[in-house]
Amino acid sequence: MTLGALTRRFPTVLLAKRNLSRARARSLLATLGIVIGVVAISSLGMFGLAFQESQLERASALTTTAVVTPGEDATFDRLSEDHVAAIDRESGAADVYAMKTTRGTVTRLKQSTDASVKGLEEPGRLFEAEEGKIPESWRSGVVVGATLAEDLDVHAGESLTVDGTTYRVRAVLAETRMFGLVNQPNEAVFLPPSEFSYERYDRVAVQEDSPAEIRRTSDRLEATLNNRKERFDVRDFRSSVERFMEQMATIQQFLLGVGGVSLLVASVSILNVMLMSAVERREEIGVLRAVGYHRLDVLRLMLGEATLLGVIGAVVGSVLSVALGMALNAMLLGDPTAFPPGAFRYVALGFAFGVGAAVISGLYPAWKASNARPVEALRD
Amino acid sequence: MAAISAESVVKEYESGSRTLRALKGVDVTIEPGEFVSVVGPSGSGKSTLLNVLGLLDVPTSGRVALDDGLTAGSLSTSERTDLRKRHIGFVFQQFYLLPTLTARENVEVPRLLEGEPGETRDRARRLLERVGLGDRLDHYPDELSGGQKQRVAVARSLINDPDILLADEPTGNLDRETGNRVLDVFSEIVDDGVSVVTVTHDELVTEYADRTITLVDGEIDP
Repeated sequence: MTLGALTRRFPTVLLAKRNLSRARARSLLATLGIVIGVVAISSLGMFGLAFQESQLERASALTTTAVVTPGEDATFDRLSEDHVAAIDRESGAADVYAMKTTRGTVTRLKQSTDASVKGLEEPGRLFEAEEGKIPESWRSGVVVGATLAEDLDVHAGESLTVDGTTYRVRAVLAETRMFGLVNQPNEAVFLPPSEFSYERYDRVAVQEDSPAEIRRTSDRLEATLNNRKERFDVRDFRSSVERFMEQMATIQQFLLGVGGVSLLVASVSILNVMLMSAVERREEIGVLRAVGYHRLDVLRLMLGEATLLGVIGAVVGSVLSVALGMALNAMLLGDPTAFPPGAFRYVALGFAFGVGAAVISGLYPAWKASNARPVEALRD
Repeated sequence: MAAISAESVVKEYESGSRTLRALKGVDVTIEPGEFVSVVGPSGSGKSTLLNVLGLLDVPTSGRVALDDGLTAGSLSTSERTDLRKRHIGFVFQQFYLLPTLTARENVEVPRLLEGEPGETRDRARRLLERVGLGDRLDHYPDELSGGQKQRVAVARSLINDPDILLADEPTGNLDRETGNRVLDVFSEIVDDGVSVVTVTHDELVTEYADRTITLVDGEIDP
């Protein structure tokens, strides 16, 4: 249906359109207010979601991980093979990673830095290589985290000195966002556990498929490994995850609040535009009443104008918001089309609030205009 | 039977603490196809009489009756609006055309919400042709002269096929020649059986009129 046919079918739209074009600058500014409000609500909402998503991606390993270390009452300061075996047994189907972890001086040519040094049996189970090949089980060589490799400008096949011993670099790891299982893997250098001066392990990480399962597993470990004495410290990250989600919800509410305030400002400006329009057009409205327009007709007419402002503003605002959302996705999630679930709900919310604000602030001026008595309007 | 009649109409306005008596018991009967002009000094109640006859205002006492016997005083605002739409057309001194609409759209305005847009469009075109503006259909009011605007306003007042046309100083803002053209249009309407009542200061209008009513101080001067 063309616009012409549409306006013939809905004459109110025609009248509204013509009237708004009369004070073009004013209508444009009021619409701009709505656009800003809609963009604020929907893009701030989407930003919150994308931000949460990107944070969750980082934390996803965390939510399914538990870590066992020697506890307060332990008579040992590291975990033995027997301990690891016991943990493995109690963890059932979960993946178990025994790790040695210390700090050391890492030297490449003349450049030295202090870095985390980790012993891990099969690094290929956790990481992927950017360069070279991660050995399946190993007795020699090192694997270097992405950031550390970049800092030292070291590549696969070159040599690297860790605490005085020189190793061949077998692989440089791809940058990973996985945390929890291994702390700061991008800044670490990985050695075969046999290269460490001690036999025992510093920590054992347990990974399950879901947060619920890790909760059960860590409770079971806690119950079976410790009886009364806190020999092992079993830690999962449920409280930090919960705290994180709470913080996210607060941030989200705050962002929506900011969007809401801007929409409130926009609706005041529409109120102003419509009120001015009602005052300026007293005589015209009086004529409409004289030629047989009912009060309800005038109300519909004025409300139609406010609604038109709101709809135009909301459409433009929604389009802008989606574009902005794509930019945010590209920035935070690395893919412009990776809208987190529920992102479009915020666009719909913004649209609804935009139109709603326009209609509500159009109500009073419309009511005022429709209640002007025709004679008084015409008497100068 | 009269097109419209007013019997002992009194209209009072509250103005601050004083009560202003604009009409002090006026009896008027307008026959179908009659051209009546209402004259009198300013403040004599001419416009008030027109508003009361046009159902824009309710008399404080007395009654206004249309030819189908309906008495305006007992009706609700909405019912009066409907009666006005069916029976009465208005022409104002300041024309009051909507500046955002073309001549044809302005004529369509009273019927714009009625549906049947095609029929309304044709009727608007015919009416504009009848008042001699067939070549100005798509002109906006600011592209028309005063006389042309007033003729558009006359066409608008006729779109609902009224029985009575009420005109408040229709030639007040026009020069002699364009005023004459508007009055010629009125004469044609009268010939079709529509009653025309104008309030005027213009001597010329009274020449065109079948009858002149003189109001002085809210009363008809016999």
